[in-house]
Amino acid sequence: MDTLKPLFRPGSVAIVGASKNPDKLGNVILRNIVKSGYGGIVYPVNPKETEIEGIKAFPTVSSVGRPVDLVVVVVPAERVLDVVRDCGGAGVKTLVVISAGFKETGKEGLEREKQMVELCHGYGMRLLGPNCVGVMDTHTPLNASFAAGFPLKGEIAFVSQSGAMLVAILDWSLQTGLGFSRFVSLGNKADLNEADFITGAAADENTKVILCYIEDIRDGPHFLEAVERATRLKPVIVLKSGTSQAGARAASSHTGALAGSDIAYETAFRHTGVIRVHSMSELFDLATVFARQPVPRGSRVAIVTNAGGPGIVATDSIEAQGLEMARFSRETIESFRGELPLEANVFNPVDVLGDARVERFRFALDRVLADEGVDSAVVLVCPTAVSEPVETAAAILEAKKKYPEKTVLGVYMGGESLAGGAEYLNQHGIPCFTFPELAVGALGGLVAYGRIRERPMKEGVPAYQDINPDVVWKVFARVQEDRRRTLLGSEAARVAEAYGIPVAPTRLARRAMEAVTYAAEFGYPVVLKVGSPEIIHKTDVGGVRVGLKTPEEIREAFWDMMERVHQHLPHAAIYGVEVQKMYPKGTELIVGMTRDIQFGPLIAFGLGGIYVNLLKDVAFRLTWGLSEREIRAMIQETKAYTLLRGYRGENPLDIEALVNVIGRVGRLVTDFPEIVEMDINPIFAYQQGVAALDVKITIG
Amino acid sequence: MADLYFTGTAGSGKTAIALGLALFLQEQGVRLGYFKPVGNPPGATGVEDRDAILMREVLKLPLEGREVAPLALGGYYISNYKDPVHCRRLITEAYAKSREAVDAVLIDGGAEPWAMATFGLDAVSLAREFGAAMIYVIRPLNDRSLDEVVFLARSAKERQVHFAGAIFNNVPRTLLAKTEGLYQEVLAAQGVETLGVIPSQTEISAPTVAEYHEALGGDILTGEDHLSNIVEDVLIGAMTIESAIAYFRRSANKAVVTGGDRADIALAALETDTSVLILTGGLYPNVKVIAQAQDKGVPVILVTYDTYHAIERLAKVSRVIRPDDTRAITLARESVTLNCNLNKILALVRG
Repeated sequence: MDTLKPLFRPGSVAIVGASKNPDKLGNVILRNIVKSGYGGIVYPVNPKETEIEGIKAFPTVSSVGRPVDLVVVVVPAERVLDVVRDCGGAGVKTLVVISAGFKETGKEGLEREKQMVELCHGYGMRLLGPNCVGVMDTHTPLNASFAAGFPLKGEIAFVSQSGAMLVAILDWSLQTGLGFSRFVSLGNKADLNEADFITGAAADENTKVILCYIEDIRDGPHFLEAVERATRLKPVIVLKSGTSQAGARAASSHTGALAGSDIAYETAFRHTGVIRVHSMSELFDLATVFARQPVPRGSRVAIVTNAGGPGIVATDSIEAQGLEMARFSRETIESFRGELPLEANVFNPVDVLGDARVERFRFALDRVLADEGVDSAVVLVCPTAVSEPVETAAAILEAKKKYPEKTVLGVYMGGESLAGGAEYLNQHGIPCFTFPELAVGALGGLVAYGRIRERPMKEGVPAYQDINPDVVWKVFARVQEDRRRTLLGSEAARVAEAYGIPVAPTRLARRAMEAVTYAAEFGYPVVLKVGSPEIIHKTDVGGVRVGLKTPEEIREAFWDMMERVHQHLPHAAIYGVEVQKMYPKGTELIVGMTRDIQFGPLIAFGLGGIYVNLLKDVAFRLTWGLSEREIRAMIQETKAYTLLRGYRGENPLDIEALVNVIGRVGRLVTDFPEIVEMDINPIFAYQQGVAALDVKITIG
Repeated sequence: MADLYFTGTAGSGKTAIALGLALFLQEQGVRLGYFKPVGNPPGATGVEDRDAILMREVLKLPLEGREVAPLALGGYYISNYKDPVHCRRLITEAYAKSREAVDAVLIDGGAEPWAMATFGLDAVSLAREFGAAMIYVIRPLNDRSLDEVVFLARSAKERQVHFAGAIFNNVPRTLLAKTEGLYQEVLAAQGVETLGVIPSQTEISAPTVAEYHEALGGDILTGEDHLSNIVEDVLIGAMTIESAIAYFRRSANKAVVTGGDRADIALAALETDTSVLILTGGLYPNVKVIAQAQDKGVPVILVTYDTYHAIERLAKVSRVIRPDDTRAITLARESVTLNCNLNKILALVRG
């Protein structure tokens, strides 16, 4: 909080580039600051003016002669570095650089941006931007931006990588009456980034919900730590764009940063308790319910409606969202039987029928909320000849006041005739939606957050005593000597073995004779695989022979394989042939790792074999927070888990051995950052133990 | 003293060996000349044989370019030169000139041992004419590579040319043990002596970005200071971004060829070990991509033609050692002195 205090609650603000010309941003920002009701001291800075907007102007920040907390910079990019030096000398704490002309413009701009950050760090100043719209806090109040308008006071913090998005939302919120605590335009994120502002908003007493629109994440580890802490205090809802192939391409082009894998983002968000949304409307639906309704204790939802069909639609949505339809107590059902018409549905969804007036809604909602088996209620109103939308809204509000710990949402399904009631609800803190699935979606977010907040504390990758990093070092050194990036199967097997991963013994033979010796050591039958780091799909080029039972078979297969592979790939470097002990077939599984550019090692586990691409039965975790508990949860997410537990009377397989392997892979790739890709495919699971049959490792 | 005639196939590294040996022989007090009877035609940007330029400067020879390399082996050399007798005279005169005031000449063969055989100017014929000892430089790829040496040694002997032996050059790690063992034995059994086994050293054998640029033409958008980056592999970026990273990670010091509009691929390449980005289709990339490339010190070359044609042009690129490339020159000298039978070679020269 302390680092951001000069930004959101400065005692004084200077605007460098302040102008008398109302068309210039330097004038707009100055007026915005004044108009927002900012209570601190304002210093326009412009060497050519003595006074702007009736306020005394200064030629430079240093000439102010008194401490300045925050400086907003709107001079052309070429002059920004001089301004930064001046501010640094004057002891300024934080800068907001509105000016464009940095990284986003190419080589020169990038150089300038780097110099600016270096200067700021040298002076101990923090920096928002450059190339941003600015910053607002409705509670200070302060509007240090060039946006048209100032948001209503509220409890939602909105952090946006897109300035345009921010300005558009601001305009929309003024119309819909949604209030905000803070607006932050991130710009190029040269210094302060989303993680800093999420941490800041989590500590801000005026903020209840944190919303983010982001295109990329600047510093993965920092983000993970910041969000992990923040989500235990407040909901963090993120809209990350660029999820599709085309979208990722557009985002790369727009931000100049590699989009990174969406799976990694998805996993990172889930790990850290971020609620991810995929559309703008979802973002603000959730923001609204979080700001206005409590997080329900559980997932049991009651529906009270005057229309059967919409009630069923809502029920379907509830199941689709992973929520539960509440089961009422006998008392509740009895009271409905006594008071509601005979044809009314007394079970959930409660149908008070089309001729219901406000009394029936009031009664039913009161009973439902009083029921211990109900955590939240959705009141679904359809227009009928006798419906009383505004009165019903007032009744809903009353019930909500009586049961403040329960979550209540409205769905007014209709248009003109219900508008008054819907508006009444929205104005009085009960979010009202036009269609049931929107309300249920928002409720889903609330319930999910309940679980997120209560989740167990993060743990680290397990430590193992019986590992041998020296062996790994030696293998890597040899591979690097060869100027290779991919390990041979036999090398990868040694690395895995050194970390206690059970691997089928594998050795590289340069001559057929050697292969026969290894086979005798392992015991027949054996498998031969061509030993080449360049050949990924060995089977396709005749590079794999299985079930070899005699020395003659090995010798014949050895030379046959060398010739075949040479025919297919005349330029591939072939080190020889790898001999592997042949294992009985087990359940085929995959454990993989790819080092994500933002978030580090991303571990995958799933079903292997020929259907792997078809079934896509894979679960992901980052090694960040990959405890044994998380590994078990990861395994349980897959369909493979059903097989492992013993499907249809088959014997269960050794899940603990698998947990151990995944943990050790996590440890290995944590200890060795040079491993950029790793694949164990397949790993066979048995009733007792597991065996890695093929290990691939790429080092960076 | 006797001349040495180096021959071998294109890309075997004849010049690097001639260079290394020349420096060694000079230190031994041998006054050395250099002669390339059949040179290479100038490339897209060059004017004369690059090997000749290098050796003339390193050995400080007071000769004109065409005196060091009088002929160029183009694809139309027969139509172009027409007269074999005239060609022979050019060679003889230039050779006489390069023999002036030196003890011995290192003769660098044409692109292949049989180059200009139609005019009777192939390696065996010329070595015989100059009375030079022939050394075959071989870059072993597989067992078939040995046939080159054995065949040439036999032809040379039949024509009473002194075939001094073979130097295995640029030997891939995977073949090093086999070369030092089986291959040497097989050659010895055929009466061919092995004069050296030089392991592959990408620092002097792999082409640099500069050579790629020469082959491709096009504009350098950034990274002019990094044209000496070596290129060990060429990858085409046409996949989805999810697969690109894993694919790029498997390869070090690579050139990545992709469309100028594939910012995602370009950025993925820049996240991995990339020596040069070649953008095709004349599509000027987003400025942010160039800024990133600049930040990482990776040159970006923009060409107007498509990816397929770019790849086609790249297929023939090989390393040229430039006179100002002191590091490569030192390495060439070191790898020759460490891995060749220098006494034997010195004895050959001293006759």
